[in-house]
Amino acid sequence: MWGKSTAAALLGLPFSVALIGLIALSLPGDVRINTLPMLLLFFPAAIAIISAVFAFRSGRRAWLSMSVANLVAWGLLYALKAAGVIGVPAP
Amino acid sequence: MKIRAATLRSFLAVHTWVGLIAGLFLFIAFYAGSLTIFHEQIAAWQRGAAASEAVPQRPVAPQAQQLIAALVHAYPQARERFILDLPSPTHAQLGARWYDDKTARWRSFRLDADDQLVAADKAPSNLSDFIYSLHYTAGIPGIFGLYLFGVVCILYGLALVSGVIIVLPTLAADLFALRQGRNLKRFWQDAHNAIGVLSLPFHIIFAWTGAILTIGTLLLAPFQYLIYDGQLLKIVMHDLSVSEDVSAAGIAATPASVATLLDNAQATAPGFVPTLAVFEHYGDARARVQFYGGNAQAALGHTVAIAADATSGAVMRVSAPNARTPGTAFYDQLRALHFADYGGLAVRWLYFGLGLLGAFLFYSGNLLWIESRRKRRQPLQPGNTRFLARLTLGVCLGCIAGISSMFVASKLLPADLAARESWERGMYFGVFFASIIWAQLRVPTRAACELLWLCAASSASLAVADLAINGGATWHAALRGHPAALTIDVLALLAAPLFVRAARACLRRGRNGDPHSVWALPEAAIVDIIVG
Repeated sequence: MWGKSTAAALLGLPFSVALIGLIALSLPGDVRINTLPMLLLFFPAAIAIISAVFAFRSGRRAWLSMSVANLVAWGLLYALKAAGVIGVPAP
Repeated sequence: MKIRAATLRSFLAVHTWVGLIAGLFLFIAFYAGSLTIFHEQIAAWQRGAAASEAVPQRPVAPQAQQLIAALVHAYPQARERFILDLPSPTHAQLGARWYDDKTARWRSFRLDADDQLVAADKAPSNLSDFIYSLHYTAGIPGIFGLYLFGVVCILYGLALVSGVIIVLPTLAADLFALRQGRNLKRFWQDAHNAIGVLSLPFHIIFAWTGAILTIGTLLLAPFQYLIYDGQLLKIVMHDLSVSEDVSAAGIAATPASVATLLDNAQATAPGFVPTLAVFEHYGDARARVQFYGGNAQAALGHTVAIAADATSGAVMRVSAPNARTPGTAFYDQLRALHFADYGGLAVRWLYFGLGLLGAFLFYSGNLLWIESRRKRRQPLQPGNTRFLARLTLGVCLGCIAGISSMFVASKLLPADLAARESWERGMYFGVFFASIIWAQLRVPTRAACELLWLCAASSASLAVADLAINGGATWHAALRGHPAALTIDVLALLAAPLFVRAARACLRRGRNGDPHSVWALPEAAIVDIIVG
């Protein structure tokens, strides 16, 4: 349980941030309209993701999978931002 | 639904651990929260029946104009930012206040009968304010209590998900089962599951909105720096604030009259009832005013905010149910769902009932854990279950008795006692911590019995104290259409015999129940040893 708990607490939250961030920045329309609803939805999303980590068969699998998930999500986020596909418009 | 046994075990462990860590905090939050739904009524009870007479209605605008003029004349530094509290059904007195940076305090003022500026009396609603603060801090001071409850809300969310997953396989068969009979644990488990599942939407909203209200701002940080390249606050400011910050122009200008400002605001938002006006840079060319209030006609989330130029009187921006951003609407509706700010009295009573049931959920959760760890072949139970039994009794019953005792102290303490507020809070903390210590020193069942009698006595004393101090005034106020104080007295009187019944049931369990349990009374164990 310790493995899964630490994976859930330490890797679950960052992954949730990256996921919500990716979705929020990819949504069509004015970023000023989309942002607050997505931030409000962050909490249920984070709870769902952290809970899901406990469904892994072992602590090792949880750490492995969540580390990969984080790398993919954050990597994608920064790659798409660098490529200019998604981004925050200048105010 | 088939879920692997190992997965179920995992989620049972999650549910157990978050329940043990967060359960007692959530009990306090739910009990204090249920009471806070009626904070206006509690304030009315504290003020006493005489003060619930309607204040004669004077036209607001000219009086407000005089108050503002007196305020800025006496305290020119208040021009930068002051707040006008407009009369409302819950707060009849017009008042003005500003935050003095030098003393780091809010300073409140009103007009007396001769239209002179006087310092406003401190709001006599300490009781309801303190119970409200118990709801989101459990009495833990400063920002720690608030952030702690943010973490508690996250654990609460995990408890909800894990709880649902655990009951899913047997949900269809067992949900409406309430198996009374010899197996007490089965009965309590059924009750815990039924209440949990049936009030799930209620609990989801509270875990969600609780987290937003306590640590919402904290969670903005990762988004601000890692996702939104530092632009987040600028992006959401439009949703969260009706006006933008402007600095003073340094040019003097005559401000528009309060009457003009109010009329212009109400013209743009039909049905708008303003309760608050925030003035900035009063008397400057770039003076601003923001009106806040409600629109009683809207169903859910009816906050109205209007920003206007305080010099010309022109309305700059309106945020109302029929004219606002999706983000503002979503946030406002979530807040309304948390604060039971919709649907009138019926919804408030519903939340009250669901809140008390919720408190029962956390109490029963701990008891179920104790039962699941029971050693069935010996009287002596594991130390951790004995400790949790005592802690649960002390915290939960101490909280109930502490709040009731605070009500009593609020009535009986002399009105001119210095630091009266501290004495009232001291009463709560005194009874609360004394209950916890008492429970640690006693056999659990005896502690339960004694603390339940304490809850009964303090509950009944609440009504007696009101009768002693206010005499028949509470009854007469009810007859005249202000039943708040009387309702509180009646409910407190009705609760007393229920606590007594629970105390007697505890004693019966201790004597006649299974001797191999934390709840067994020592004499029962001795009989067991003798009889064999």
